[in-house]
Amino acid sequence: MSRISQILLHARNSMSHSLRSGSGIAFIVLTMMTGLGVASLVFMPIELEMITAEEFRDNAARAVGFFLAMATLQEWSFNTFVERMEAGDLVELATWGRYLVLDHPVLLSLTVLLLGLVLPILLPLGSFASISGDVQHRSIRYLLPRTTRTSLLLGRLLGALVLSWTLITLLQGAIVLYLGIVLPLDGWSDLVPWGIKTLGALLVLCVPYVALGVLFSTLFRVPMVALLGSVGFTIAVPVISLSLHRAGEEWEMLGFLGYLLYLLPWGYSHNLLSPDGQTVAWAMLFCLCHGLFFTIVAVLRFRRMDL
Amino acid sequence: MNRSHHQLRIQGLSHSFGDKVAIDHLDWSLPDRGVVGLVGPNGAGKTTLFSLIAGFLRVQQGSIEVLGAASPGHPSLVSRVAVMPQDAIFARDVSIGDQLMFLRALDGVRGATAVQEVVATMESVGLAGELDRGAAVLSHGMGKRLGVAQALLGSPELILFDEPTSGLDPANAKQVRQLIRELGKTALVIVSSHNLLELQDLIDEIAVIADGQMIESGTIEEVTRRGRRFEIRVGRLVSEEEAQQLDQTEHVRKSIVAGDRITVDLDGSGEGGIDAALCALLGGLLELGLPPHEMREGASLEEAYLRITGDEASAQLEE
Repeated sequence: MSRISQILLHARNSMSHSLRSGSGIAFIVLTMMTGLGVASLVFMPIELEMITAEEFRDNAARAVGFFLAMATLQEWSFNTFVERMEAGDLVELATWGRYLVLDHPVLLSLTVLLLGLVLPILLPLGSFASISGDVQHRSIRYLLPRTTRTSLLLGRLLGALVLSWTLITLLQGAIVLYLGIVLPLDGWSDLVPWGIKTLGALLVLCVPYVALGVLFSTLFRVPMVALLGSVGFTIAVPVISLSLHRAGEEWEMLGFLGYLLYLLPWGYSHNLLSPDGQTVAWAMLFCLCHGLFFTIVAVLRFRRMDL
Repeated sequence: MNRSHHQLRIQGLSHSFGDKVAIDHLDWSLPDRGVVGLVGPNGAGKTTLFSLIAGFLRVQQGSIEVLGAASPGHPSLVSRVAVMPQDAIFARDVSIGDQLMFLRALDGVRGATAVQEVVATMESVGLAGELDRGAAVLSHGMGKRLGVAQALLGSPELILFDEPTSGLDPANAKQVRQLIRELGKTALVIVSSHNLLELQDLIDEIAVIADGQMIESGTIEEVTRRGRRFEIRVGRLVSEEEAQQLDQTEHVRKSIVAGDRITVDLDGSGEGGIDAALCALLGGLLELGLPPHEMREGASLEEAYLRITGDEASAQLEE
């Protein structure tokens, strides 16, 4: 049997197992609930008529601009950000903010931006047990005589990716349908193309974080430790690097440590929603390279592991 | 056994877990078919050796050539080696049938052929009725039989069984032994077991491992020294004087007496061979007024094992 066929078999088996196992169902339910929860938080001010659509767009433009200023390590204080915006500084960010909230469906843009923050923490839930689950119960010993370690790992990674992609596509589909039918601030002709484009951004963003979950699954034999490790690492990287970068404003020697942010796609994932097509393409490439790097490290680790 | 091809060749193999040396410069070669027993005290390194041959553990030092492949994890070995590990468990929440079908799919066999094979194999271990159930409902013995079943699927050329009958009732153990015997006709089967009585009738060759080293290996005849060692039970206790006289008998190299039992090593290299030596021994016993009530050729595997691993009385005989 060819290696490709084996990888596809492992992927299919891994997906089917996810639909029957506790951790798989928990991942599916949590991802859907969290995604819909994020969307409902974004929609709430308009749905409950707490604010008009115009006011919402104005506030959202500033909020998105500030978010982008932080993500690009340019500004940390909202007040200073507003002053710099009014002084004509940060023009690029202002254009970017308008692109997301004025040129395209604002509710969808905000939901996708927030999903881009939440999904990296959720995605390891779908892959943390890819290898560690079988290693812990030693059921991997029944598989190894019939497959290569590389095929097994790549198949499990593909299975986790396809499951994550399916969930995100369903989630995005539900959000677009809701916005088109229940909250029609924008027409279908705006919603559908932007929905597809932002879906592409989220699907690409999945790759490195799912691969990270699989990598941690090969680093730790106990699934719960692999889960805590991957989620902890995903959260710790931005928290620590942004703190160090801010500290660098006072102690210059610490400033460069802010670039630890680039250990994960946190440092550039916002570029996936850039108005500039070339920037988007580079961000996609970086995401895929990040995923490839984690996969290669996971394969090397798994091939040398004592099982 | 056909010794022309070595399907397993281990040279200078060493493996440690931290400071603990589990396998220590071990060499072992095995032919292409037959049933081979691997025995040794607890902690001797049997499971580590199995895990290294199966490719579960990375080779730290030395080499293992399996079925012509330079290393145990080589892609060319996929579906040619089957393993029944001692402590592995099947997924609890997926039906046993689905899991076995998946294993066959990995071998490249699907559809009706795979279903037939899986059903037939499960019938052979008495578990045909459990195909639609999850492994969670299986008892220890049933889980063991399921482990045997998955190793029987396909046509592996090397099969490793780690304690295949432990925890099985006598009927099921007998069934598993018959299956192993059948497998040994077409493949090389290595069985690790503590049940030496069971192994004696099952295996063609045996290897004894202790402290990570191979201290004895060969055919059952070679290991038990069948052909030159005899165990005799006489009708009464044998005195020390009689034992000394027996030692002086022609062709008797060494003897040891324990109550009414005498173990004798004969020298069958002279004229007339082992028959002449045996006649001289029986003559000597009759002269001493010790007619044999029972006589058995060779030591039992258990006795040989105890001798090899340091049993005091047998060691005395060796000296």
